Amino acid sequence: MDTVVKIDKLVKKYKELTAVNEFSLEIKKGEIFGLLGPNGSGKSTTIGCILGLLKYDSGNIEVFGKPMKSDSYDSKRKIGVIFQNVAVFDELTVYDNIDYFCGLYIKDKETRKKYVEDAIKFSGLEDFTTFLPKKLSGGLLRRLNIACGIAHKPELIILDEPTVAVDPQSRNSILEGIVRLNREGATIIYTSHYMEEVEQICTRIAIMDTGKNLAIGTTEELKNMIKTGETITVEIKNASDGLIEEFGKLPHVIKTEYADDHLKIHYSKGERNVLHLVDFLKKKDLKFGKIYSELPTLNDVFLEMTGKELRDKA
Amino acid sequence: MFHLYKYRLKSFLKNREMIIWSMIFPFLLGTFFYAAFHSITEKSEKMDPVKLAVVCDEKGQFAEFIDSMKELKFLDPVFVKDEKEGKKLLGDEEVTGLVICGGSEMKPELDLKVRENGIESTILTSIFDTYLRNYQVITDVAKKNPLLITKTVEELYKDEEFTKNEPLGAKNADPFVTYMFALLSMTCMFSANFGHENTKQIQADQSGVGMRRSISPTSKMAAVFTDLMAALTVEMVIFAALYFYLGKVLGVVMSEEYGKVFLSGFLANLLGTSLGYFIGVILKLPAKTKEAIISAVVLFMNFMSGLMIQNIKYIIEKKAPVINRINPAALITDSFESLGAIDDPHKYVVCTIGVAVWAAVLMILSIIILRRERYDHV
Ligand SMILES: Nc1ncnc2c1ncn2[C@@H]1O[C@H](COP(=O)(O)OP(=O)(O)O)[C@@H](O)[C@H]1O
Ligand SMILES: [Mg+2]
Repeated sequence: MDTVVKIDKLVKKYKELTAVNEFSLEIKKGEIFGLLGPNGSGKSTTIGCILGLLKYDSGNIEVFGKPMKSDSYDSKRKIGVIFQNVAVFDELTVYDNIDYFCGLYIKDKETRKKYVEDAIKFSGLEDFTTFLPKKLSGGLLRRLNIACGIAHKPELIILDEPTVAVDPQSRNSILEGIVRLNREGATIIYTSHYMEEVEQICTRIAIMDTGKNLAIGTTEELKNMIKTGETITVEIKNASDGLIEEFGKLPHVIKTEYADDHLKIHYSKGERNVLHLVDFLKKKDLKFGKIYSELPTLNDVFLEMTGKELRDKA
Repeated sequence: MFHLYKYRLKSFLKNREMIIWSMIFPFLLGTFFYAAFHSITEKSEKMDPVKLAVVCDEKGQFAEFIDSMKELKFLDPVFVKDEKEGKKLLGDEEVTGLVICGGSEMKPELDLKVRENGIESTILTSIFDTYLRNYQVITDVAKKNPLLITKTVEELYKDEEFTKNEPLGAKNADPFVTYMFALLSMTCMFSANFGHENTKQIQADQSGVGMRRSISPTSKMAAVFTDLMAALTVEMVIFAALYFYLGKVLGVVMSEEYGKVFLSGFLANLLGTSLGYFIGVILKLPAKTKEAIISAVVLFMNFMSGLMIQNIKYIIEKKAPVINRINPAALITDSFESLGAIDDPHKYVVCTIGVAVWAAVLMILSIIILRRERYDHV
């Protein structure tokens, strides 16, 4: 498989702050590559370096096998970017904005017209072509931002948190759209701090924190990297400390948490944990309510690797 | 290319705030000046000649000039023998001003002292400003081609004839006309705002649009060129509108050599825009701060070229004329003035070249900075 983007030991500092620290990565053609990390972990900075917008302190970046320069027009032509912040002309309508940005890539009038119409259809903006950006809702504005980035049918599409502050409906249509673009042949780099999204669409994921690449792999691979297996929650009223300690001694149990009559038991990898647990409950003749098991999420992966929650406490 | 130009133009035209401010400000000021000076003009018709103490060689050219001003009932001169005597008259409020003619016959120097800044002192300033300017025309020509002198003097004389019939609306540098040219110059200089706007939309660290354009395969040069042409188109339309408003509605005597007017206007706007580019790319400050700096710089330059107090330019011309040869706003004002109010082709050429040089230098420096490859942050 061809390598589309190759980052080798990238270091980028903003004065004293090291935003990206010895970050390495290789993205192959056809992937939907997720860059997952909390706010401030260095995702946008990495994107800026890939695109050749930012100066960086050391490291090496190749895009389509070549370093990015301001006159690497052949590479630039093949890239489409959806920036974190909406980047459009406030004074131009939806159609004009898409047509302008597409025009930076596509000189032929006929082709451009078709491409612009495709982009409008793709982002579901048919009814808003004559609107000015300020008249669009948050979700529609994001879709315009996307349309401006992909109208020229790029081979590599980079999306930097495209779903921030977007209603669930728009979010879904955006995610579906990304998968569709990928199926049509585009390689995708997708950054987000929402693990659900990344889990949902990405074929491979890098977990990033404080500028470092903590882990890289498919969702499955990442989950297998950590100790945590499943988490089983049982509803038990008034459990004593002694009893909880006994739960903690069951096989594969890493730790227990008890609050609001709910006992959370974290397991390492292991088979038939629920069954063993139910046996234990019966043996002890304990009354219990609901019991359910959750598989580890990327949040657990992140938690275990950094000791922090990935979710922003909004 | 045309595609990019078209949309950039469209985005400028739809930027209502920008257009309105670029239009309203000069039009309002023009009308305001007009109203203010109209009342002055009416007054001055009835007004007594301005009383003035004069210290000069009574047989010299300057004395002749003073006499002709007396005939025109602009001045009521009192010839005194030295500065001390003149100052006494000024102190006793016997006269409004005191003028001392020094220097040589070839290069006269005028020292004007006025009692207070008011209409009368403005009139005095403009009279002596005119004298010095016309004097330079004569001596300039004299140096190059002595035979032309007679013709030039004749031309000047013709002007004077004109002045006699129509003292203040004439093709001559009266304060109103000078203000109007300064206003025209200010409008061109304020094109800096368009230049600055363009730098916001092209630099990746200034805006999202700048980021998008930086990563596109369209070269920086093409982007700068289309942006610049779009800005100049809007500026020239505003310029033309103001030019005709001043000329046809407010009755300022404007040149009708439209080719030259267009050239001057184009270069002046290019200079203003380049100034905006330069400030936009060289300063690493928030956009609002840069806008404030642009306003301050433009107003200061125009202040120095006589936009608010006409005496300023006169004083500078006398004390440090080099400033007037360098100050972009003064060059623009002079290029328009030498085209319209006083027909002075030599000065026109010199000033126009000055404007073009400024525009080119600022633009080239801006482009060099703009072409840098990467940014510290975006
Ligand atoms: N222009 C800047 N100047 C200084 N620090 C910055 C700048 N941009 C980002 N940073 C810092 O760099 C780190 C990484 O930021 P960023 O790449 O935007 O993270 P993310 O996109 O993952 O939220 C953060 O700590 C942020 O505060
Ligand atoms: Mg970011």
